[in-house]
Amino acid sequence: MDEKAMLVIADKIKNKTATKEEIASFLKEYNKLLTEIKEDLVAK
Amino acid sequence: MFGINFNKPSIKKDKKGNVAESSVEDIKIAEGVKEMDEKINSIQNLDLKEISKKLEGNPSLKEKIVNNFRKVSRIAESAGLFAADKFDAILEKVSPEVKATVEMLLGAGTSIAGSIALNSGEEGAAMSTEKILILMPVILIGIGASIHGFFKSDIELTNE
Repeated sequence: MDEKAMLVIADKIKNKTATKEEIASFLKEYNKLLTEIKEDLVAK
Repeated sequence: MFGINFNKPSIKKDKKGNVAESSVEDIKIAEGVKEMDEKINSIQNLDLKEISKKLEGNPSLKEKIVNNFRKVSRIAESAGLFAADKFDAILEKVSPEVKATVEMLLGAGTSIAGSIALNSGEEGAAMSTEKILILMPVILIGIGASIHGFFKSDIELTNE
């Protein structure tokens, strides 16, 4: 899922129209970004 | 750096203790939130000041990290997690130490929510990568707390 797609779901979350499925997908992608940041921070 | 303990959401179960079928998405969300907590905790436990110094020798990696972090912030902002009335209050509640750190870095009386919108505005554009790296755990804590607040009020993953 690219940033644009995440922003669409994020907007739905803000407007309280996101489904649970969308929220679960959102969290999955959000965690991927956090993982990438963490891995880059500890990279040698 | 900063400590935070969130209440883990529990999963809906029937009277026999089996996970309700309607709760499959709830489980995915609960797992996603748990994983997010772990990621945030692992990042906030890093010595980001030291890492920032180390990254001086690798500007392209530093830029990649900051860009990804801006992306995380941008998405959180779109989800309404930086809403001024919520975010500042949550951060203050989470830890006065967090608020003190932000004030030290950004100046007393500065709106955390406004300053943390790293992707927009003059202040965001002018913010150094060093400052962004130091503020990273603070922002992540706020995002994490906001997401927990969101689930508590809107989704109610509670035992029946």
